[in-house]
Amino acid sequence: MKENLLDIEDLKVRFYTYEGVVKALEGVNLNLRKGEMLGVAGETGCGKSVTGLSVLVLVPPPGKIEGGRITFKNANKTIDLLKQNESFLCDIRGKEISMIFQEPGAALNPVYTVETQLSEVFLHHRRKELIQRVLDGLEKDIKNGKGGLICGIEKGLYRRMLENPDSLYLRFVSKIPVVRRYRLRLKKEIRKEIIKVLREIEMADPERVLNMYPHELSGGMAQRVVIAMALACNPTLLIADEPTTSVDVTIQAQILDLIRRLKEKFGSSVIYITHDMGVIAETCDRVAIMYAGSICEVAGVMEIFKNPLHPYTKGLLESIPAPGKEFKSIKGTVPNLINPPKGCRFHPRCPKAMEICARVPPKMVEVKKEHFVVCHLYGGA
Amino acid sequence: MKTLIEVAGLKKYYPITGGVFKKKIADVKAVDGVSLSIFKGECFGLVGESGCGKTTFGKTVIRLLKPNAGNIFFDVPSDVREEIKKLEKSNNADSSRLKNLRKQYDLSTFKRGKLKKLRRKMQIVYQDPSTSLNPRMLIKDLVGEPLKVHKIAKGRELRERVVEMLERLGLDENQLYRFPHEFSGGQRQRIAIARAIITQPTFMILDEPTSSVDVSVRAELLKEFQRLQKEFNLTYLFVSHDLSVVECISDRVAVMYLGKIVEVAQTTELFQNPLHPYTIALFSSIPVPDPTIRRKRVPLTGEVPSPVNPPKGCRFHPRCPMATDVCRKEEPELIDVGSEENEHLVACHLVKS
Repeated sequence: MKENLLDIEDLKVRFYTYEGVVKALEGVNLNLRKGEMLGVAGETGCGKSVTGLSVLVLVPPPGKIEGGRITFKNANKTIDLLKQNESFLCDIRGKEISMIFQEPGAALNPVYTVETQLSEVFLHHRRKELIQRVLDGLEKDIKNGKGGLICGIEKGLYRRMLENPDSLYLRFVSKIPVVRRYRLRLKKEIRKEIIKVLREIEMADPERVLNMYPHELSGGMAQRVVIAMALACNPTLLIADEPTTSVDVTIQAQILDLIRRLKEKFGSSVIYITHDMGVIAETCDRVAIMYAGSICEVAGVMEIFKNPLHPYTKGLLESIPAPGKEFKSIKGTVPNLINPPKGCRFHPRCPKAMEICARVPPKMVEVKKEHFVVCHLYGGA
Repeated sequence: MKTLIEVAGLKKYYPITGGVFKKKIADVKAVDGVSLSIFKGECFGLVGESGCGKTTFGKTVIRLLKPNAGNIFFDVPSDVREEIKKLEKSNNADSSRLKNLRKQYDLSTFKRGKLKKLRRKMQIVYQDPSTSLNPRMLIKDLVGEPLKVHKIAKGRELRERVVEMLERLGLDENQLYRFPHEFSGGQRQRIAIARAIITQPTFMILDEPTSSVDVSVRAELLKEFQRLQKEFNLTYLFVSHDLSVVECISDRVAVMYLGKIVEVAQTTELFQNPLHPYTIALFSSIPVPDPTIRRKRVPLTGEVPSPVNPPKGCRFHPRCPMATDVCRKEEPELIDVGSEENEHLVACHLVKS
């Protein structure tokens, strides 16, 4: 068995709204192995996206992570992401853990070009490497006798940039017209990298796309740009939050293929958040089913579809329409998470609810090897 | 089977204006020559990628939009339809008899008053109930509004009818004095359905009615649609991009691509034996909710071209893996390649009857 890359233990997230405290996540336990694609499925509002955001410690206010641990193995070190300071997290986000957001139109800033937005990632995470590359280029130019004095000055400036990134002097120089053109060399270097990334995700005509604004891109193209942003630094963990809900089936197929291929290529692990069981069946290795802020079942893909145990999973699978089958649905609606039902949160809708379900919240049990269920039917007391 | 709606050569262009005087510079050819017939009592599915003109087609059929060209015949007696066809074929196509008949029966020529009478019989349910319902109106007003507009009922009778309709859709009387935001997505869609069905229409357009709700609610709504169809003897035009839903609910399906119909057939026939390369690619990209099945994908590269300048010849040829020279030059016509009782229309040069 492969070792765990990410461990989420007893995660609790609450949102403090005017109507009351929304208990969005209540004790979520989940782990992700190296090189694995884990699907997280559930209805709207069950806490899938919040789980994803918690891993990046990006839960937006009024939300707060109230408890639990998220341990992430990074270069043989195990770190608890919830205990790190913000600057450390900034270095992790986008480099080790990155996220593809649901709505590409909303994830991109409408007033900057694709190039500007993509170069931010490189400027933050690979600044040193890129400046070094510029310096090497300059060195070569000087050797060949090109540029002369200007190259010399630029070399000095870049060296300073490398040694002291917050230098006041550089900040001043970069504002002077004509002189600030020294920065173009770095820009060119970044541009090369961006084109390389865009080629990797099979964007047609990347040079043209660079100068476009997000509104000029179609849905599929915008989603590709967001994916490029997430994959720019070859992250070890990729969180994809419903990346295909806003695009068509044909584009969805293209994007799924892309994510799968890139995952193989870079050996990343992926958490794939979706509500489409079809997508889960096609792409994931393991599945976690969520309901109203907690996990109800975790198992391998084959196991979940062949042998679902939790009544909610059964209901969810039965409600997928198929020709010649009667439409089935789960009775009732998703509970309000300000006052969630006591005991098992699914019991008001559960066809097999027992007396104990209304009192005691069930615990996770391993029914079979690798098949975990949170339900009293299987002895989760 | 009796035809309820017959559409011939329907075109709807949206003008693009520009310059100082807002002159028309180009057209978005949203629907470009669509001919279809929908039978009484069936559920007709219309699928395609976003931006292919599905919704525009639906709206034009019930004359929420005025078509640029083409005829729409709604519930026309068959002998009149025969006569119109005969007159169209004959040499004097401009005869006064034909003009008169058209004026009387062709929906595309109707003006306000006449249309309003027909609106009762044709209703539409939109995609997102949170935007299609006025947030400032009470449920009783929302559902009762069509009755008022068409002067079908008023006062106490109106209220009774509204309550009856709500109860039929699983809502109750206590909810009359509530606003749309107090309901869940599924309930809101039910309110939208109640509003459409209260005038007792014969034809309903369902414009992606399940795309804004969750899987479990979706199944519930679909069940509701099937029940209502039987109860009220309705004919549906089910517009959707969710192919698995269309496969379950429709009797016949049409596939649309860039303003044109590329294939029409019975649902089972179409899903088991798709002929047009686009249909094949589209169906192969549906994710199957069964991990044991690994379907072979027909990759479809690129994206839908702009409907302002659709490609010459067959509109699918730039993305088609099997495109030949003919495809680039000539536009294929919709031909019947199916058996006698089972119609199967395809518009592709490579498929011969």
